[in-house]
Amino acid sequence: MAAEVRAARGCATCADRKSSLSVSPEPAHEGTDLLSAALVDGLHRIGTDPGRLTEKWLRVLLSSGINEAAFVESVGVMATTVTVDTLSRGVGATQPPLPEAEAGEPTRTDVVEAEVHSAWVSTVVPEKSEGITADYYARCSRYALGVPHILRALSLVPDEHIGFGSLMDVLYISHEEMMDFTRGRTIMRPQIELLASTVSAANDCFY
Amino acid sequence: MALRASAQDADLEEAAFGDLEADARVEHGAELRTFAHAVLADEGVASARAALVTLVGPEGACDAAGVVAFFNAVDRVADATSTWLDDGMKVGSELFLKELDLESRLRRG
Repeated sequence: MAAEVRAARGCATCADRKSSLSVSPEPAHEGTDLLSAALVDGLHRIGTDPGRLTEKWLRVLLSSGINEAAFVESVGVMATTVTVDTLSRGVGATQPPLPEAEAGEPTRTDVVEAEVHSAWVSTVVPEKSEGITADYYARCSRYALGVPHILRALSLVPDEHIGFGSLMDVLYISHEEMMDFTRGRTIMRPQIELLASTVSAANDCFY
Repeated sequence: MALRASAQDADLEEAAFGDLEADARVEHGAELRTFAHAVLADEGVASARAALVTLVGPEGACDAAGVVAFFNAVDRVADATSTWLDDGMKVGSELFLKELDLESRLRRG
């Protein structure tokens, strides 16, 4: 998955699709030995043209045999890869090689209850959360107005949800510091938020 | 994180792609935005970073790279899952803008 996220940046099919006026929800990439064509295509789309993803596209992808939790986990893998690679570019470091896959079984941490209430995918409602998800939600909701929907997005796969949340703590700002507008690091809070807004606007993302 | 979600009436083009030579209301705002765009496009990153380092130091430039990296990813999470904008986020965003005095910078002058 991470390799496909990286491949998307130089993908000619993605470049052609991005310049087109309309986009079909059907896959336009070949699968690999390990990943279906639909998932490869999905990873490429999320990487290169996320602003034009549609619910129809997601339903087509899920109808191809990928279950919802697998999709959410792939989004988490994509997000972590994009974070690492973007950071590498930003600091002028060589893109780190992908680690060798290790034999073993996934944790298969189960989510007791999730429902479609904050996104196209099922997410865990805070009042029904348990375990590490409940702990994370408790941190998220300290600073304001409940648990924002964006902080529920990957909750169907708790390990991915918590992992990506840890990136937020380190690279953006922690939940505990969120409402302290005087707190900065080596750059100050207004500068942090200007960077965040600039990136979101450039990505045509409403967040 | 929440800023752009609140600025539905604001000129976000100005915030993101506005006059990069202009004096943003945020200290070193123009250089920070130039750096963000350079990293996203993977063009001119070294020069943009060097310019930023002279202003905020290497640690500050690294910090900036981290913010750009996180938001480049979280934007995609939001789009891929089509996470719905909630009222709490909108209210929080407006508070952020006001507290950080960024609202006027984001609105068309």
